[in-house]
Amino acid sequence: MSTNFLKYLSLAPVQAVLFSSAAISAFIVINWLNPNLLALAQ
Amino acid sequence: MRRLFALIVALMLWVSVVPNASAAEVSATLVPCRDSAAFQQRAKNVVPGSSAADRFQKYVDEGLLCGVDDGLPHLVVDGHLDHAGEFIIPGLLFLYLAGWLGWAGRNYLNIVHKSDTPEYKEIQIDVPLAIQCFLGALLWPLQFVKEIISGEIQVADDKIPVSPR
Repeated sequence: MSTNFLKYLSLAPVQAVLFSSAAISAFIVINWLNPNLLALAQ
Repeated sequence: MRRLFALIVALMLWVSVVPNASAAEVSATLVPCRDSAAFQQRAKNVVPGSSAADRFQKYVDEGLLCGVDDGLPHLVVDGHLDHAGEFIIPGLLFLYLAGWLGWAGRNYLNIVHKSDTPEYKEIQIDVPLAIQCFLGALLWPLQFVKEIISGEIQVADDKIPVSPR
């Protein structure tokens, strides 16, 4: 059961959705907690 | 020889396309934000202590240039190193990240193509292997230089399939 679910999670389109969601969630959280982190890296 | 010509053309294009930045031209339209009356006016309108106020203060501290007329910060993208944080560093960071993704994907495909079921592993990602590829690709600029020098980055002409002529 769990291996089948892992196989499903390994499908390329599913991975694409998962990683895009994780990336945009990280962006949203950083932008919410400390928006200045995303600007003026100098 | 062909490579040499390509390099020469690239250099000539680069030299002719990149405009010469003129300091006088910049100062006619852009001033440091702390000296810009329009910018000061805008800064007065934000709520003190808010994150917007912090950002306005940061524009001043970082020495951003503001438009004389609009009072808004403008990014200097002509390669001046004292404005590196506005475009050069983020630009290089973007190239690094894009190259990292591409290099990791290329590594993964190269490894998977040697396995028994290459097509299968393109549809169903071998996640542990993919993570390994991503970690291994962190130093991709070095690996890229190495493969360019050793010629490994190219496939031999006789391995490229061509349609019958």
